[in-house]
Amino acid sequence: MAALIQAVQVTRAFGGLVAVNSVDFSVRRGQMKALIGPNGAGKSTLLNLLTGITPVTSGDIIIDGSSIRGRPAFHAATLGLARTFQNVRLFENMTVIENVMVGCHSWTRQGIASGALRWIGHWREERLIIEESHRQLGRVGLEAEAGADAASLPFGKQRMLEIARALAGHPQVLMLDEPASGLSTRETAELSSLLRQIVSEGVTVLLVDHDMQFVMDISDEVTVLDQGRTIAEGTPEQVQSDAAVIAAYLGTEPN
Amino acid sequence: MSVAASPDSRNVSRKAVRRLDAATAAPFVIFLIVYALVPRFAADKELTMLIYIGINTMLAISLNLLMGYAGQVSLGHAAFFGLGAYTSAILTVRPIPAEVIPGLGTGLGVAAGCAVFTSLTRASGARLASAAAAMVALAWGSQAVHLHPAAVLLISAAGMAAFAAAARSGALMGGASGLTAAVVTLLCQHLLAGVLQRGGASPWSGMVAGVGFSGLVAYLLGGQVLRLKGHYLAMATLGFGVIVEIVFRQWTAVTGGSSDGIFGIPVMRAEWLGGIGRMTGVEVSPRVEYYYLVWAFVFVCLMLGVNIVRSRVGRAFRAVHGSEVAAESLGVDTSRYKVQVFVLSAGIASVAGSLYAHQAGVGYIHPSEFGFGVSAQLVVMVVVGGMASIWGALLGATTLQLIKTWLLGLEKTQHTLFGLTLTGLEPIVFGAVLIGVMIVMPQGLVRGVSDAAAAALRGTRRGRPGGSG
Amino acid sequence: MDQLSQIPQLIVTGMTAGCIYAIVAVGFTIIYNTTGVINFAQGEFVMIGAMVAAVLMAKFSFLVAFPAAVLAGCLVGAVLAGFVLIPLKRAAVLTLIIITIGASIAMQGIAQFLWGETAIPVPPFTGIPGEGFVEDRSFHLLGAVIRAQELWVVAVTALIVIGMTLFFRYTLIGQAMRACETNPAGARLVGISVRRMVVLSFVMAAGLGALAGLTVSPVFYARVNMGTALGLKGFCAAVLGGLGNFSGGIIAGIVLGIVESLTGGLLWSDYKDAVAFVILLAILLIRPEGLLGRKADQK
Repeated sequence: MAALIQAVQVTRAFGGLVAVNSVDFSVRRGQMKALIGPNGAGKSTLLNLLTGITPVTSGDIIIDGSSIRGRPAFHAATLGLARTFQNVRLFENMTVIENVMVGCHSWTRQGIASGALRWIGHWREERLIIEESHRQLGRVGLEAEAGADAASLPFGKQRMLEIARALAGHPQVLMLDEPASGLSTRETAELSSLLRQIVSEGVTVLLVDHDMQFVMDISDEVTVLDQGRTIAEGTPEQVQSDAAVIAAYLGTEPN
Repeated sequence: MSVAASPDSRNVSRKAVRRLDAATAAPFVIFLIVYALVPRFAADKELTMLIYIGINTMLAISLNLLMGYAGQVSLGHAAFFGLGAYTSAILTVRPIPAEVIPGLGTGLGVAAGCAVFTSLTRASGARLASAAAAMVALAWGSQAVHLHPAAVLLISAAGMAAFAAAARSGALMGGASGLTAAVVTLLCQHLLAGVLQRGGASPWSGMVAGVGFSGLVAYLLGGQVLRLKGHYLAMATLGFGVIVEIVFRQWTAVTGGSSDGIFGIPVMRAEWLGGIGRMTGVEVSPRVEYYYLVWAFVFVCLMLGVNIVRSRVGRAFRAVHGSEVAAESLGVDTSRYKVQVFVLSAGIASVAGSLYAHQAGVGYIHPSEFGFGVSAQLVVMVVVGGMASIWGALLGATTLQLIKTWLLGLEKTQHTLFGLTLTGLEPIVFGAVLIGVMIVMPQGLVRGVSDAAAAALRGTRRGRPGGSG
Repeated sequence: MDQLSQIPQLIVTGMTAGCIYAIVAVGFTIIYNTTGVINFAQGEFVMIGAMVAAVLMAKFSFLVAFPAAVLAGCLVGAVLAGFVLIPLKRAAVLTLIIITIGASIAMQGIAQFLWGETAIPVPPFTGIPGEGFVEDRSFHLLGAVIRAQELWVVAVTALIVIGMTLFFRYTLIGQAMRACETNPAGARLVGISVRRMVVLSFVMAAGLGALAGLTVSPVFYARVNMGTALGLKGFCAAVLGGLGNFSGGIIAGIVLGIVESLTGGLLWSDYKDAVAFVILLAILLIRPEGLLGRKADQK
């Protein structure tokens, strides 16, 4: 089966520090894949490389058959990549629904003149955007807060809003950076069921987390990263019993 | 959790859109009625003040789109105001000396060529600078040996194609930019040379030329400068503003310099707009007509502004302000939208500049009217009216003009305080207002006051519902 | 040939101006390193120092005028620090920029209200008292005329540079100030009062600015609108040298002064004032984070 996302021998160095070191990594279509590893393993850096926010030092990243190397960061989104951020990045100057409406950017086309003069295309597209945004808000249970300021939401709902915003772009892949951190047990359970539902709709999901428990329950395949290198890959069961993984996780514990 | 939108929720969203649009349209209707009737009740003095308020409102809207919505600081916005005013004034009344025209043409040509080059190749910084240098060299080279225009075109296009191929930016794109550069250069040096030397263009064509020129400058500058953030962007725009003001002051051959300025600028006419006045039964003096003209532009700007911020592109602008990284992750080409809003903003400022230059009963401009002080005042207007508020721009401009008039009156009374005559009141008050507003209500007067009132009424503070704009 | 003979004189003039840019750059750096704020009112501190000294010199001895000028600067600095401190924690860069711009505008207005717009001549420190005015001593060196006051400017700059270096390297307060910007939370943990350090940095920057102002006023006269240009050019120097870098800012300031004077004197006298800004724009565009500076703050 062809990989939807493929990282080939990807390396990223910040000054002298090599955060990601010749990693091969791939996500297949329709998968719920997880990327885990102890703190500082290079997970978030790898995610930033995959989404083109951080340029690679060497190696290549291929999304749905085309390379994103040397392309601006927004390019990955046009190839069907959507993501959330570890420390939620909402547009705090906008309302909840407007946040999701920005999410529709990649599949809409109206330019500045159309918006300024309210041409017919503007109306047609605006209605689609609003409907889609309400649909996504309803899906994460934020319909009631549509008109509120995004910044006024409690943290758990902000995470949900960020997911809705990412989904509004009709992505092929949704990448979530530590989506469960800071959530209550109940919110985590809701998140799990939401993610299962998203995968069942045919969206590929890539989860990045350092919390084994949450990830193991829901993913199909897990890749473990430690000190910038892949140390294990396989089903959750295989990974959990892998000696290198256990060592990496225990090794980070202070004595 | 429902998967698809139910017909119910669809209806709700449509109704909400309609209600929102009614709410948006209402102020415009009121605006039009007041607009038509004002000259019945206003004397010449008030009309003059209103004309200034109108021009400042346009400037505040343009800066607010850039700063309030897209979050890009500009401390040199008066430069675009000045470029509009000067372009317009020069073309209408001030013949350009023949010896300046070849250089001017080359400069414009190279600027246009660079614009084409960056838009095609996304080149910036040193690469763009070297392309510009190559174009200048080609232009000078072919002019020095007096070639036939067709040969100039060919050499410029071929030369730039070779340059671009060598710099690995695509020969075709290089050729296109070289061709543009040569076409614009030749246009200015030959076809338009007569107009430029005579200097009798109509104010309207002056305004159009001003917008084109300001837009070109903004496009080139924005593409480079908007990669900067925070303090660096503030200082870069400030530096640009200072440079432009110095050029106005020192390039005496073209701008009249700082001792003379430009005078005798013709009035921009719009007789058909004066018809509104006749319908309401006022005698239409040039000033009344000009009032109608300026505020028609204000109306258009308000409408465009309100529409844009509530459209796909406007949301992209605001997303850039909220978080560039997040906006990129959703497919928003942030650098493109930043340049777009910068050019839009410069264009509006330039129109305001032309209106300022062609005022009825003034006909005079001077470099000091487009310096850093003016840029700073524009920031005050935006801040007072409220960041990210189009109608707030009107409020900000009005408030500032009223304060100015009041202070001017106070200074004229020759009162004394601590034995000193009252001078320099304007900067003191404006400075204090800036600090005060930023500390007490950083959202601006409109939101600050309405928030405080709402909080007082409800007794509790909750999130504000609804959109903005 | 005639032009070339002017070069030594142009360098001397440029050096004097460059020293002032350097001191203003140091002021920017002190505040930036402690608070992360670019203080757009930095040039006004220079103006206050110059004006207070000029006004007091007319009536009192320099023994009164000089300390008073520096004190006035420090006082204004403390007040400004108060304004910046209120919203510092939650404020966006833009808010802080606007507050310092507001302060700059207001200071100019107040100065104009108090002292009027005319330039006030100031007697040089070590001049020869003449009839009605004090004439400065001067020396000839390599075809350039060097005024004693210009030596004073260089000396004061050198003194400030040495003093600052010692202060930040060897005193506890100096190190504490540096800690505040790098890691405010950590600084608080080890018992450093961030508020106090912010006020201190403004007071120091303002005091230095005022000192620079009173030193340079005999050369350039004291005017209420002298601050804007000095502030902007000092910022150019700070950026050229890498924002946050003391020695870089000082070297860049002096170099900027000399380059400006040479280009103005030899090439385009009309556009002398634009030189600094063209350099600033070029540097910002080629190296967005400054020559030696760190990455621009990301939101």
